[in-house]
Amino acid sequence: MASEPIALPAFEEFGLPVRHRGLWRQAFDRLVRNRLAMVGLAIVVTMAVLSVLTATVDAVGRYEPSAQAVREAHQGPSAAHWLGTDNLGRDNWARVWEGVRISLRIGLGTQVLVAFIGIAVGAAAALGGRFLDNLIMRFVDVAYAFPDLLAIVLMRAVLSQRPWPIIGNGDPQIPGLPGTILQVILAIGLVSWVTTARLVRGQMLSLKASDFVTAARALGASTPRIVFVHMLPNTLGPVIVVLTFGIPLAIYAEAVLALIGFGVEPPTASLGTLVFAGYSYFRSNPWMISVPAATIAILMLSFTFLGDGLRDALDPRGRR
Amino acid sequence: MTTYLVRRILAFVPLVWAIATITFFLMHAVPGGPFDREKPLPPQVMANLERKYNLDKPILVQYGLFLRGLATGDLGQSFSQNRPVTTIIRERLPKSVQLGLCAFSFALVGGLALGVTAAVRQNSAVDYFSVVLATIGASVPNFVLAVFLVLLFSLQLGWFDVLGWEFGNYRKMVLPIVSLGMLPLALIARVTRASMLEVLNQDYIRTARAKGLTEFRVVMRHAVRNALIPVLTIAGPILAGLLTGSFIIERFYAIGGVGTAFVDAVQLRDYGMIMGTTLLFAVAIAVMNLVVDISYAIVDPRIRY
Repeated sequence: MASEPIALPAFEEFGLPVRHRGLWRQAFDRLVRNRLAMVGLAIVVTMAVLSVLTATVDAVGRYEPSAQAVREAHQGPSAAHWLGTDNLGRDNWARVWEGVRISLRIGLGTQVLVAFIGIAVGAAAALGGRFLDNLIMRFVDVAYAFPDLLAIVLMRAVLSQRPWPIIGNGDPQIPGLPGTILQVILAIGLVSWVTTARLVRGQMLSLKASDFVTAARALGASTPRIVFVHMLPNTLGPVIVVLTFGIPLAIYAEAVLALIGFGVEPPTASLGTLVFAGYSYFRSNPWMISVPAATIAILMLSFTFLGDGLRDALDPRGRR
Repeated sequence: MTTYLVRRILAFVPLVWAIATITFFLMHAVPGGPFDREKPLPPQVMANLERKYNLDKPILVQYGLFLRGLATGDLGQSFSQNRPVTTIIRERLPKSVQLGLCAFSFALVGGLALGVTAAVRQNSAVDYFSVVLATIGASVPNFVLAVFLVLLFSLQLGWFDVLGWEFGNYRKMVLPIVSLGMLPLALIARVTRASMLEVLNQDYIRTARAKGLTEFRVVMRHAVRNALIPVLTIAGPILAGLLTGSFIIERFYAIGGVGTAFVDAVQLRDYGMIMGTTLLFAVAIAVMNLVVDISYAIVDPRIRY
């Protein structure tokens, strides 16, 4: 057989352009057609942009999140304070966007950590031989039996009050990432990678036995090449879905930590910290708690919509 | 079945050991000790306290002593209350169990009813309502729901109390149950609906209709029972989530259950209580997974162990 490319006359005969659409491109098209996912994405992007703008542009931010004006404490919404003020007269609008910024940072940071650990451990289990696989899977079994939130609380307590560089308490050594935020990210990330690892292991095991990997090996491709060029890209779809769903879970976990007093430390305030602070003024000033609480819900809902859309787009088997 | 049960129950032993070990070393890695105060205790008092609770011994010796206690069911003393951990847990467990089981019943009854109605009347208003509720309920966190329920029903309408839990007193029960049970209700409704839609298209449903059974009987006896299996699959994780997720709701409504005890214990470095509550939760999860696996065999006669 000659190795000539197969001609595609049909389209050109009808005067239609030939479109080569890769799997990623097809997935992207499916995602764009999913209305709910696009709404989720739009809200997430808007909130991210607004949270950055409020920090950089005075006209959008209107107040310093930490600027106190005790005389204006416990106000409802007004022209001066769109979402009211808190117990120290700080502006809820400015405070809540700072909270979104911190919570988004925690949600994304956690998933970056989860992606690294999850892919590395999952790949090691799938490719590292039976002994390593057994060892990792036994550990994963125990981790599954360990209640997640309890583990996160314990891990957060372990990481707290350390004199360590970068993730210790005190002045932030990475701009914008004070030590306590990193402690929260680490605590959540070090507990949440298990699902991703198990997923990557399963994907890798089935890919290892697939025909195209055998073909690549027969053609003499090196193991690193097979792993990084042929296997890893094929595991990415489901991993992206799991990571997207992980963001709202991390935001929730952070809020839970904050609600029991283990969150980021003042003056930094995440959405969870704001809800926790508002809890004490529940009766006198409902705005202080309901604004950040509603924001958490909207943020989590949007990420869930986006995750649902990504799952439908990236996993054609699961589609109806 | 007996061999299966025995094997599963024996598997609890290494699991409890592994979780106890991880918890033991994690909690000892938490900076600070149980007797740290803002004003430090006199060194003599500190030394005596540490000797009394064996905290002056090397960590591995403490670990050995702890394992020996665990093997005999002794979880040690609570440092902060100076009473046996098991006594405290026994006091606090009823509230948590009542709350958890009430929330689970609420989720199960509500979720099944909503899911079945939605599937039977597909594309009706009920169906759309259930889909919307399932989507929102599944991603609004329980404490946010609690905030708005209390603002609306306690502070505005005055129907229920803001805080507390009292079994039998609806004013102190409804809000915690709904806050905790809404997420599982949404999940159960979603799974039930999907599974019912699939079952209702089966041949045996057409047969049941063809032989003249009433629609009620077709749905309840022929469809629902077969649609239950996927619901059971998620019931295990849901029960586990209700138990461990309850600590935030317990905290919010000031319910003095086991969840609150765990949080307090971590803050006070109360080693015995941390261990006791963690193990309780872990064992509860393991037992519930086992119960779910067994109930498969009851619902689906094709499954044999």
